[in-house]
Amino acid sequence: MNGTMIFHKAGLQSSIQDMGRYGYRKYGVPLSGSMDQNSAIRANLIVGNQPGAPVVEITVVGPQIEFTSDATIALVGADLTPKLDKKSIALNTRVNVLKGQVLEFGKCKYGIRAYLSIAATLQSEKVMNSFSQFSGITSDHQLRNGDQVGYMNGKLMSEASSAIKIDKKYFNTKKLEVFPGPEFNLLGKDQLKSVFDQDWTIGPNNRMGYQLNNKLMPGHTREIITTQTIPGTIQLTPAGKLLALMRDAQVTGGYPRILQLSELSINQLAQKTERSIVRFKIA
Amino acid sequence: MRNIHIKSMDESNLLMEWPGAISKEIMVEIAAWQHAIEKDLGKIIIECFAAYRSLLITYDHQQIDEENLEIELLKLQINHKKFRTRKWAVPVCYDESLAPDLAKVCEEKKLSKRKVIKLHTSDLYDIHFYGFLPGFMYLGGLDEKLHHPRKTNPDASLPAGSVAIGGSQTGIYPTNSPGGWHVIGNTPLQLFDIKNDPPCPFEPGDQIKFKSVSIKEYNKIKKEVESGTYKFQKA
Repeated sequence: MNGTMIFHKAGLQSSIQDMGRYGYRKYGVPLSGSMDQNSAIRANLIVGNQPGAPVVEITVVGPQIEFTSDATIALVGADLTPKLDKKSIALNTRVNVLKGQVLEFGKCKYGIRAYLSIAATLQSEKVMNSFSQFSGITSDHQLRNGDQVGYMNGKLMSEASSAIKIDKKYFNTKKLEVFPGPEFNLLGKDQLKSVFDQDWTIGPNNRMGYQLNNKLMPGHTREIITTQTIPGTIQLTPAGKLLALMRDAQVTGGYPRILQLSELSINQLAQKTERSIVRFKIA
Repeated sequence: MRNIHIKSMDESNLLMEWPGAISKEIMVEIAAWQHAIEKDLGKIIIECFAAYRSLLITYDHQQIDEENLEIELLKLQINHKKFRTRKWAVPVCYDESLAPDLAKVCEEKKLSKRKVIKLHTSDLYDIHFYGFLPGFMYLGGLDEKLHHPRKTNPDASLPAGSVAIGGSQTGIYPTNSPGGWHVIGNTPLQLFDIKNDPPCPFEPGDQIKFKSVSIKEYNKIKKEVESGTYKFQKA
């Protein structure tokens, strides 16, 4: 069955994402892609999709979506209290949605990003081999009130025994695994102590990056010649703050890259928000 | 390979770094490496892209590990002295209607408008790499007489095609964007177009030369660009 997801409300920041736009960074195009790729992949696998199929990334305040034909969906990642026609539904399992039903969200209980997959082929704009919405590449960088996203060959699947187990630690852990970054050796003794022996508090953050603050971290004046950055690169700014670059970050930068988050840690950081505390541990 | 440092970034990214200052020689050497890696290792690498003195390789770690990728890199035959790059002409209109900061730059640098244009159009600029914005070229080779500190308060929006100077660099804003550089002209060319593959007409390692055009020529080229009949010109 072919149908449409009608976004009566788009939510705070909802967008279509896949595993990212590879092959165009040499022209300055950022990777993009789901912030928490682990959850996006699981959402797809539950409904029998390819792991990298496009999903709807939902952030903190969820959208209100009407489905115009039957299809099985799954929600993995943050618990944003999803409801189907006002009745609570479970995360991390298949949920059958019938024609005309409306998916809504409530309070954000844990995590901040949920991934909505659908057992169907999403009909979304594909630019440079990727569905990921990004400013200047796709026609908009997020979904808007009233947007419609079509799906083809939607199917209903058995809901039985499709649930996957999620360890809450994934969302609660303070510990982020890092590798030494290319400019790790620029860190002096005091800076090393501040980086690894103290808590870091998450500051302003978005799909481009997370600022991390620690009052004791000394500043520096070391600029480096503009060089590559990737998602998970942690830069040390002159003011002594850390900037963890995320999926939409620019492809190059000029601050020392002192640490690199592991892929797992990028995904875990993507579920955290302002005022959360993290600590770094060498992988 | 004896001068190149190889560093692992994470489970699937390898960084090749060249020592020394920013130079055209290193740019061409990196472009030659990039070309060889894309051509010969295309099956195991996902992509690679350059910066001033480095090349980043993203590989599929399920197909090859870091150690074996380094061995594959060692086997590559790189002849950067024979590597061919291209030279392109980029028309720029320096008319004050398209150059909001030109008069001020002339005043502050104590140079005539004619002299600024002459300096800006006389050299070939090296395209080291793209970054900052999709389609934004990091160009090397701006004449020292045109070096000029960036604005303390960046402009909220510069129009696409703005040709600008900031610090020791010159560049072109490919799309409407905020910017802290001084706009001294505008090019009618479209330097980033998602409808084209590749989306940019020039490759890292190529060179460009600015060519001063009148507002009349500017409008004529702009029409050709919009109708899709413009052909990029060699310098």
